Amino acid sequence: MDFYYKEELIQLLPEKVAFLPEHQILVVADLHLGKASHFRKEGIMIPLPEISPDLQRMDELIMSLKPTTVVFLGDLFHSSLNKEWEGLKGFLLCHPAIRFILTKGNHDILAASVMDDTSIEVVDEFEVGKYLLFTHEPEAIVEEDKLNIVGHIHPGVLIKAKGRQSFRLPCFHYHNQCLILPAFGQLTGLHILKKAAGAKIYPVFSDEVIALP
Amino acid sequence: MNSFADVWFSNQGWTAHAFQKKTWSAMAKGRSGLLNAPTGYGKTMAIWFGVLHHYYIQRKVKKGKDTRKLHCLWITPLRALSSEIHSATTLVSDDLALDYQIGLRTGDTSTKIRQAQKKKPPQALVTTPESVHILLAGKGYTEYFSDLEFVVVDEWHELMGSKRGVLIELALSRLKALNPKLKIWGISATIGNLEEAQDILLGPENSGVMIKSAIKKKLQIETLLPEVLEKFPWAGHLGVHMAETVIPIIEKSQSTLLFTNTRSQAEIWYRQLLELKPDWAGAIALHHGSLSNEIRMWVEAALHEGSLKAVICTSSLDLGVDFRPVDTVVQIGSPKGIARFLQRAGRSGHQPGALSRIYFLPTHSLEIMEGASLKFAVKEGMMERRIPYIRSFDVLIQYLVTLAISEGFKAEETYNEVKNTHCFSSITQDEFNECLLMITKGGRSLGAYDEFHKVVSEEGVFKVTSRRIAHRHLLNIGTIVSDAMIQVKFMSGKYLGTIEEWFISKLKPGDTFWFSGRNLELVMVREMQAIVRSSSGKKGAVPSWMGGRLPLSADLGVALRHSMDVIHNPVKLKSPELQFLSPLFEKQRELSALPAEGTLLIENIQTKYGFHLFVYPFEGKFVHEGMAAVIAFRLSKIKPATFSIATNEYGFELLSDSPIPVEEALELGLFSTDDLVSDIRLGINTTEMARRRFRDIASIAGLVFQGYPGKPIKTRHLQANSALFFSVFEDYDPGNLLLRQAYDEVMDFQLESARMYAAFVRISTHAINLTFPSRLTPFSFPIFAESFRERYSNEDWQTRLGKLKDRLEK
Repeated sequence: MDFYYKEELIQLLPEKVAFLPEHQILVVADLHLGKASHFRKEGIMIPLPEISPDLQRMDELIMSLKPTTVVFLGDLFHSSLNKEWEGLKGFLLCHPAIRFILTKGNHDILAASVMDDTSIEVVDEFEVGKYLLFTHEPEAIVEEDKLNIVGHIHPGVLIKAKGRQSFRLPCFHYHNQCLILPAFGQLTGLHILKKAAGAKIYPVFSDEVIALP
Repeated sequence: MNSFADVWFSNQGWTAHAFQKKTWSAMAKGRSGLLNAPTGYGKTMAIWFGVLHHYYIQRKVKKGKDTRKLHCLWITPLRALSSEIHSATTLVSDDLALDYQIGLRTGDTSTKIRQAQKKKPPQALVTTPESVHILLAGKGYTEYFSDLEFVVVDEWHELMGSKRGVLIELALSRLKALNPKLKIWGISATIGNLEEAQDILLGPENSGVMIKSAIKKKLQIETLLPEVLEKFPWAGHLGVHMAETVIPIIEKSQSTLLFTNTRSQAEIWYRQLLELKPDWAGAIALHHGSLSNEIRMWVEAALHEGSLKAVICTSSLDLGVDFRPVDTVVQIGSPKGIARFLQRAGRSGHQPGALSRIYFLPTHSLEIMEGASLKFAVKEGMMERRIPYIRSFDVLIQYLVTLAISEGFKAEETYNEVKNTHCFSSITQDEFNECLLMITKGGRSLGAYDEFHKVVSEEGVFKVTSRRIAHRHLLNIGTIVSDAMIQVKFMSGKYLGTIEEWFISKLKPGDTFWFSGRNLELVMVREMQAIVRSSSGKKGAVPSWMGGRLPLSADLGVALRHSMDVIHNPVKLKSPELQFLSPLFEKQRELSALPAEGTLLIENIQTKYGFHLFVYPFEGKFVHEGMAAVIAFRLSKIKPATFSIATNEYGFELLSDSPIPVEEALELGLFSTDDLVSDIRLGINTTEMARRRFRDIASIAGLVFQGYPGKPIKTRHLQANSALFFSVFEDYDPGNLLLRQAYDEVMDFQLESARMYAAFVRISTHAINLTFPSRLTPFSFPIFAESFRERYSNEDWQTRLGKLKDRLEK
């Protein structure tokens, strides 16, 4: 699905990421890596595969899209340091040529010194071109003309279909100069958004993103 | 015989019933047993004087020693019932000037009192199953229970059919190991499997006595019929259009209980009655499980005094507590079961010999028939069985952690104790080891270094060493799972009760809603509290609470089938309910056909919603859910399809977005018993039933942390819903014991697979009557109107999404 803001093209992909072909930027929201380990540390049993399926999916995306920059829209790492951190470090080392940027989120509570140890640049916000502003949470006030691209919400939509069936799907959500990305991490839930007047909703199907009328 | 009882009964001017004397004598002989007697005839005293007698005889024997320890544990399912038992037994000690003290310990008991009870135990403790497990989680519990002689389980029939019954079985297995001479007594209302109830409670090594009272309560049942059938709706479950008919009944009675099936229905009825009779404000009240304790206690006290004309209530007033002034009961809507109906009827006419009077108020046309069926069932003495839970590994895992918190446990010892319970009699060493693995290593399939940390083994003793984990576990003990609750409070701080979070999340400040019988305006939501103010408005949503829906019992289903047969036999048609309904049956005959014995009616109807198939086996809702899944599976073998499934007591509906090849399917044996077992399995695996079951299992086993109502704890970093856990387990640990349990529970409880098999056998001998009505019929409409639906599909997710996508893009 191609989404235009002014002259900027933003591709909304069914992998639950956005890609900016002009800038070669891959945008990913809410990975919540380390969540399974965090649970296990607290005595909550959840199976933990040897290699994070989320990072595997990231690898595949990088292979096919070949971005020069990857922007994580916050909540990259869930809670405190644990075993899965090593997995992330390994992943970063595999992609030395790529610039990684993290717009800091509420779950990113790792100490600065830990983050300094990686190739990730941690920022509060990140600007691209004339119009695009990346943050973790939606900004209260967005400058006229600008588009705020955010994560944090884990947006989802409930679609009712014939035969009294209903589907809960992750979605991209655009409203009032703000584009919200779906959460990328597997261990994340959905927050079903109410349809606001003027909002555009883009549900994510397994092979395609479409626009709801 | 029992000197204490003799004195006390003669002081009261009462004579003891035969069943009471029998109980005293059995208890004096040191036996365990099960007591079955109607409420209001002194069941409590039958047991209590046996306990007192034993205590003082024994004290005489061990003269001199007087370090007081707990002697009797009395477990009830309800806090209200616990306080009732507590006051009744305390009164006996006071009357007879005995030094036998009784303590009360429930979720409401203050920490101060709990500590006092621990330091200097009373002789008896009245408590709930959850509180017993909290005691087992306390250090020094072996010493605390070391002199325990009696465990009394009140309303055992109520506990047995739930996982709370498993909590009791497990607690008893531990207490019996501490005190091999422990005597166990159960008190149970009449159920279809009393003997099994006794065996499960007492355990295999304990041959107890069963004492049944010969007292029969007199019961009068009357169905309230609407004035004209034509204006009566074909579907619906609220019944408020019938409100006027209960007014004269309330007026001529001293005090009336009106039972509804859900809390929201109670709220709606309360409002409706006040609208019709504004001068009843203050004379009628509302009672349900989400109202604050303070409000409920006030209502209960007022009922005792006889100062209330009527109370609209839910199952919150089903059990135990006696309200003598109540002389009339109204059941609004189907009671869904014979036992529940009788239990509610028994709420009236509590004085020995008095008549219990119950009115049945149907909420839609076809439900009128249930009046006739209920009378038939009561006359025939039909009674449901309570099906005990088996192999509830979620509860076992919780229990093991409970023991690990307090004094730790040894695997071998605990395995043997647990294996002796009914619930886990079939557990294998491997399964037990897997449970151990889950709490020590977080599951089987893990390589490398891992940080899982819950229970550790120190020299063969399994223990919890982290205080944080111990604390969180304590808050999670129990098997009752509820959604996140929001407390409703006035600005002044006055607490009204709780509402589920999802309801409040739909409201904006300024919106009004009905709760606790008042119209309230939402001021703001702050953390887990909704602050409200009174509103004079008349409009507003009524909250509903999840889990309020009960399926009709299979036995009532049998009674319904009987009523259905009677319709075809005009000579026998004496029942006023069925007579009243004959125009409706005529309409059904005209549009389609009437279900009849020996044939199975199937209706194929097309509406704007799609293509419907209605089938009427009259087997009860549980069985219909399973049958519908099997039929959906068999139909989809002919042509891939997705069905939305609705069921009710009479039949089920499959709804599809494309025509259903029913004739072809019938030729291929749609209802045949060939391959039935595998079709059930294949049909069920693809539904989402197991996923829903897993919600409770995940919470009981401690995967999903809920906190306590009223004690919201910040757990944001630990939040994940059970659906997520379900998918992750399916992907990475498909053989997981808890996952398998979810599927087993679906088979045993949700589908009653054994009963379903019998139904298929019955139907396979029937002729099929397939009709094509031009529109919905009187029988199909109530099913169509069911709002709760299952989904069945063998189209893969892709195809379904593809269809959806096509439609959206059109």
